[in-house]
Amino acid sequence: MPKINLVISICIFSILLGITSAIKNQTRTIEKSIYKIDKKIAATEKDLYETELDYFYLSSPNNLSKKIEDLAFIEYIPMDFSRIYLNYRDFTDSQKKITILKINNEKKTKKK
Amino acid sequence: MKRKQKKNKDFNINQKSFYFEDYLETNQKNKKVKNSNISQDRVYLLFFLFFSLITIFSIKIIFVSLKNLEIYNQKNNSFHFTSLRRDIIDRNGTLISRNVKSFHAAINPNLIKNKENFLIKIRLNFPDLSIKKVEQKLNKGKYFYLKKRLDQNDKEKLWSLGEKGIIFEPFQSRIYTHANLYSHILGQVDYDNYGISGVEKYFDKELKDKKLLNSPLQLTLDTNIQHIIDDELNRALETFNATGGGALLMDVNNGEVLSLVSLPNFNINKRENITDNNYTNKITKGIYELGSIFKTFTIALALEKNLVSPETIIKNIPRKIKCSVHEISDIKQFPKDLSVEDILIRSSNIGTLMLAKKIGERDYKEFIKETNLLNMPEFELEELGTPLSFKWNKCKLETISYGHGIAVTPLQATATYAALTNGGNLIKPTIIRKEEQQDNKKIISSETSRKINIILRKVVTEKEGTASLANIYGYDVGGKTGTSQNYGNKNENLNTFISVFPSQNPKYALLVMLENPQVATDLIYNYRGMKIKGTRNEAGWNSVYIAGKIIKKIGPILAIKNKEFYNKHVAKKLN
Repeated sequence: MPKINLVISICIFSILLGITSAIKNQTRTIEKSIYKIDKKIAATEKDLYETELDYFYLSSPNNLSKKIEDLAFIEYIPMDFSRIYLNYRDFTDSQKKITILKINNEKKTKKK
Repeated sequence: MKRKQKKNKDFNINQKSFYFEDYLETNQKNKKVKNSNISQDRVYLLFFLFFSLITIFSIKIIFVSLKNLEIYNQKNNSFHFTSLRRDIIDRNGTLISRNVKSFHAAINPNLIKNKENFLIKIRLNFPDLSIKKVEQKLNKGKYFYLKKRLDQNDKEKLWSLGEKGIIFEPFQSRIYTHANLYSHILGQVDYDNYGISGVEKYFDKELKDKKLLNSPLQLTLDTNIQHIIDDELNRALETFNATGGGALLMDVNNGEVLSLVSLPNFNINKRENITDNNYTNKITKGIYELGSIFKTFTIALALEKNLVSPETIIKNIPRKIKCSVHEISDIKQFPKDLSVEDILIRSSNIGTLMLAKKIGERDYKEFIKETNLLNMPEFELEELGTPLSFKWNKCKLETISYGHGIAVTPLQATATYAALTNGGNLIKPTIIRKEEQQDNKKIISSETSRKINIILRKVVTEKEGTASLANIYGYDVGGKTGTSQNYGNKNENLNTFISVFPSQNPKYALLVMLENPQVATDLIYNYRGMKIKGTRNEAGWNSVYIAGKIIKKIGPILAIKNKEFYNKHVAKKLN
């Protein structure tokens, strides 16, 4: 009997020891990863904070109007309405028409 | 022993004594129990020990997972930054002001070994700094600041010197993303993050409220509109060679200020000691005699009291009137008989004066009191002007009726205009977005307000009107000009135009003011379809012209339906 008790005690001891160390290690890993993530979050937040500031500074109307003045030498030419496609299908349809017309023209020229 | 043996001989050896047997068994049992008790105690102890450990770690896990991340390693985290002041944003959410981490460069002379070498390095890198002063401070041996508010460049330069004695003291500085644009509104903070002027001072408590740190303070201003008005006004100063100017755009229904520009302005990111009075906020602190703009108040009051209608003809208007020692006359020669609306359209001083006499001093006083024109305006800025007080002596009513002898802030004049055109509700101008609606006092009836809007529109559209250059097609601009002398300096002109648009149902009031403008001889106006050169210097030829340009640009941003654009470019549904 005493032997059984001893065995049980050792078993319980080792099981609990295992569980405890596992929990302890898990806690440490979690703690470490939390620390790392927190650091990353803080760095990202800082970046975001400063980037926001840069964005609002660079996109301020005053800055934009200066940029436009700098780029004013570019001449923008209005595009023909017929060349503006509202969706991809319209574009492909018109391209198909053009190719069919091309083929027909080629055939005609060959016949001649 | 012998005795014992003798005693034992009397008994059968094989016979077991009951008592003895019992004793042995009990003894053994006791031993077993004792042994098992010890082992049980050990088990319990072990259980307790491990249970405690598990509980401790479980608690830690729970604590780690539940506790606020901000507390967690915050002090040791060099990236972490907690702002001491809230951000300020405009009505569209555009960032206007934010705190950032910055540094002061301080010197601990005891840590500098080679002082001469250090001074040479400083002289080479920072030629602007006075080396003599630095040397004196260095020799005193006391801790001192070499440079405050370092920028990244300066910090790197100092860092690269590799001196132990240079200490970078972190602090939070306030950055204003639009520099000059809001200089008269936002104000500044000191090195300890206390507001010292403008919004920063007025809302100092709210901006430092730790509970609200993550929610920015939202103003009613619109950065895009502010920029357009600022740009146009800056150009106007150049075109008309004016010494200063101001503009104010206000929502007539709730008093929200969308733009407040006062020129000249300054870069609030720089610390400069400005003593020139020209840099005051002309809209809220400047006190001016705004001239003919007051005629609208007189006419509105006369209509409100049912003394006249817009069509009522005032007959025999004299060319000159003598009041006490003053002689009052009109700039131009007007017909002798003028309708009430014509008096405002042509801006007749004497016509207005006659109407004021009809109203009487008591009612006029009451009106001025109701509109709070003579009290300090209620507005969320520290820089507010108090209108000059005066006595109602012999000629006061006469002169006030056409805007002379009464000096108020442009902010108050615009707010009163808003009240006259929005249906008669007196509004409080504000730069803070509020959810709750104001309880407005009515100063005139809706009917009078409607009549005033019609007349103000005619000031712009009629041939005799003084504000034709603001007739921007599609926006129904109405308004009144005012040309007066500067209260402090009679040699300086102050040309003002307060416009409301769209005049059928006014939404916005725009004030444009130019200080001491000159004739723009190089400018060619498009006046009623004709190209004419600038020869005149009244408000109609400068402030009105600028207001027109501003309205043309801000109209689409304010989403006011432009009739011209609507008729020409918007496709209409037939069914």
